[in-house]
Amino acid sequence: MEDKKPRILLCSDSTEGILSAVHSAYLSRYGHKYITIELKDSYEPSLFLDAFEVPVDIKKAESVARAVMEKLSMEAWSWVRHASMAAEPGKAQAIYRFLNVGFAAGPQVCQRLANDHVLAVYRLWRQVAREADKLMGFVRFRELESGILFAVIAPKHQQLYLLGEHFSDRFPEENWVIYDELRRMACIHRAGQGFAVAKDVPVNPGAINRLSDAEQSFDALWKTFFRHIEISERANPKLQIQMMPKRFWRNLTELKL
Amino acid sequence: MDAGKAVNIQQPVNIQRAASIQQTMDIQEKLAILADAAKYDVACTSSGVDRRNGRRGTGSAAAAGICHSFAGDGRCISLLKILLSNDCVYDCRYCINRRSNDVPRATFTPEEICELTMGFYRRNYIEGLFLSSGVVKNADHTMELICETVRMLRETFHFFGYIHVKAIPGADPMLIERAGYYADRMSCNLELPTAESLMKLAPQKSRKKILTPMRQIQNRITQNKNELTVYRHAPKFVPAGQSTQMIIGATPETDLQIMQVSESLYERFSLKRVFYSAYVSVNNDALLPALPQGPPLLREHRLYQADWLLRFYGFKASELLDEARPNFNTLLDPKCDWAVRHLEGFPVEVNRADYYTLLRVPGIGVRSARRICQARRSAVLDFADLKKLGVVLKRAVYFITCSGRMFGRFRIDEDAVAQSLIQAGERLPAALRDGGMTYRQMSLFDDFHVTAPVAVQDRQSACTGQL
Repeated sequence: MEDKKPRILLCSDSTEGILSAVHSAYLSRYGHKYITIELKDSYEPSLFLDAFEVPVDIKKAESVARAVMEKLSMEAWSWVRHASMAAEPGKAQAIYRFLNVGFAAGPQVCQRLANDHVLAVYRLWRQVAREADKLMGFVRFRELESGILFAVIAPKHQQLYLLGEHFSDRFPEENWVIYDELRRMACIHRAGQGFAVAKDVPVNPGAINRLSDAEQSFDALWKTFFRHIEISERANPKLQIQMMPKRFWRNLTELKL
Repeated sequence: MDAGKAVNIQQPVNIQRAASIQQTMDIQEKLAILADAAKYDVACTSSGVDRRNGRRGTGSAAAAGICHSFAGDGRCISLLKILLSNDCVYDCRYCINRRSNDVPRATFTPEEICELTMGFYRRNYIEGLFLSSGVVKNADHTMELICETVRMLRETFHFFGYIHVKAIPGADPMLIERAGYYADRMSCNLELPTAESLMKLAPQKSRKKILTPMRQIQNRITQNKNELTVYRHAPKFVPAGQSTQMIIGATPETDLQIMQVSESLYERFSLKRVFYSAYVSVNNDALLPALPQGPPLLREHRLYQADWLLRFYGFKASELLDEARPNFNTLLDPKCDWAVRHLEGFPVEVNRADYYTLLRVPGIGVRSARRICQARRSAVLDFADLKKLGVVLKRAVYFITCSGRMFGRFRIDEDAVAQSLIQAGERLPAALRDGGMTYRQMSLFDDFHVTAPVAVQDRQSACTGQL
């Protein structure tokens, strides 16, 4: 048995893509230890390995997701989902190994932090969740002439889905857009409806800089408040940067130059 | 200091404003004055209530709270923290807005506050509103204005974000109750730790007048919880509970006295939080300390650490401090300090000790203790595993065994362990690092025979306000 040739499954960089590959890996019955799942975009071809591309299949992905929710736990599902949004080339393999452990261990898998595979996915989950928590506070909407609220973000990890859920609940009666300038993707919400994430969105810089009249006064009011709420005797710029890293400042109304 | 600063408000030029915001006094000016006046209130948490929106109006609330920005002093900005008015009739000696101070005065109208809150909230600048106020005319009048503001926000503007309002001591109980149905959290500031200090520095306030609304809110919350078990949709009264704050370092109380006050507030008034505010010397007054080294930030930090020990770790104030040592150690955090004085209870075996015993080990917190309890069901834990679970080994190693073994050979006596812990360093907030020790009571704590400076590493979650 030991002479089986290792296989590599290549998947697209999305939750559905990774889970489709996991589904194929299980269905192939080739043996988990001979299979590696990698992201299509970051894979470097090797002569000695067979690489197969797995197309995205929503049905397959959903069946894996359901299995995680039912046989493991909602917590495990949240870990897998967040991990699949991380900016980490090895995430597909990490999720695959986590699920190997999980389907053997059952609902208690999230408590086995002493296991390296579990720990790896836990860490990815934590990285993504932490950045999402920060961004829920740091997203800054600007009101355009048309009344649409428009925000620009530049996160390390894919955050549009998590932010979309959060802000759909918060502003259900507003039209808003969150634009990820690094991935050129946008989360678009229409008043009274759900949100959608669009890829390769062309953004016209003229259009997003035509602001409403009220926008300028609120911008100024916010800067005034920000300046005056500080207690100068307690000034502590290091702590400020630690809590609000500089990479976010570019898109923060109160700190933008 | 602020009298000078507040006068010097930057006048923004050529800014078009929506007509409705324009009032006789520029709203920019008012905001500058009333934000300046509100900043010494420390509470700025938006936590404790989880509310989904339900497809109408604006806003939701997240149980963990969300920080929207961080000011230059490193404190989180979560709520639009403003006073309704700083035109106060009282003359409390520690307060920047005391009657006899010459500072610019301003008063918001309820409409202006609503406008600001909604405008800021829509742009995701804030999580909600924190509305406090000086006493305008009298307590009833002030409370009525506060009530009207929050009613308008909820009913006219359909705002479902977080609202924290102050209960003004001495106001009609009916008004306080009404505000409680619109607000998520209410608070009533204790101001100073003891009744004597209050009498000395704030002669128009009395301990009794402050505790009355606090008791009223507590009783109403309890009653409301019972109603909610019967009628699920009964209106909620102050769902995020009530909090209070005291000023530290303006009066001569010891840490022990302060901790005892906090303990009884948690036990007898079921408060969610007690906040400690290091006194910032804003007024020159013979009865107040001058504080040339700046506000007592390290002391404030130690009190917060001990506060956590009371609320989540099952400690009593009397365990942490006693008459013989009534103040916290400057070199060791309260938990380490307690542990080195109780070496007889250590080491504990991590694979067997119960949750509450684990909680008392320095370097093990609420999360890592919980994870240890879960993880040891499926594996025998060793030191490497503990590190993965988030235990801070450089502190914990002196107090634990894994499968009967200690991490290494240590001299286990009070002095030696205290030395090692001090050398291991503590995660102090950035302000207290780099020789920025602003609070020392070395003469009291020479008992460890150490004079090592606090070596500091790592980071510290400054959001001590959360939870």
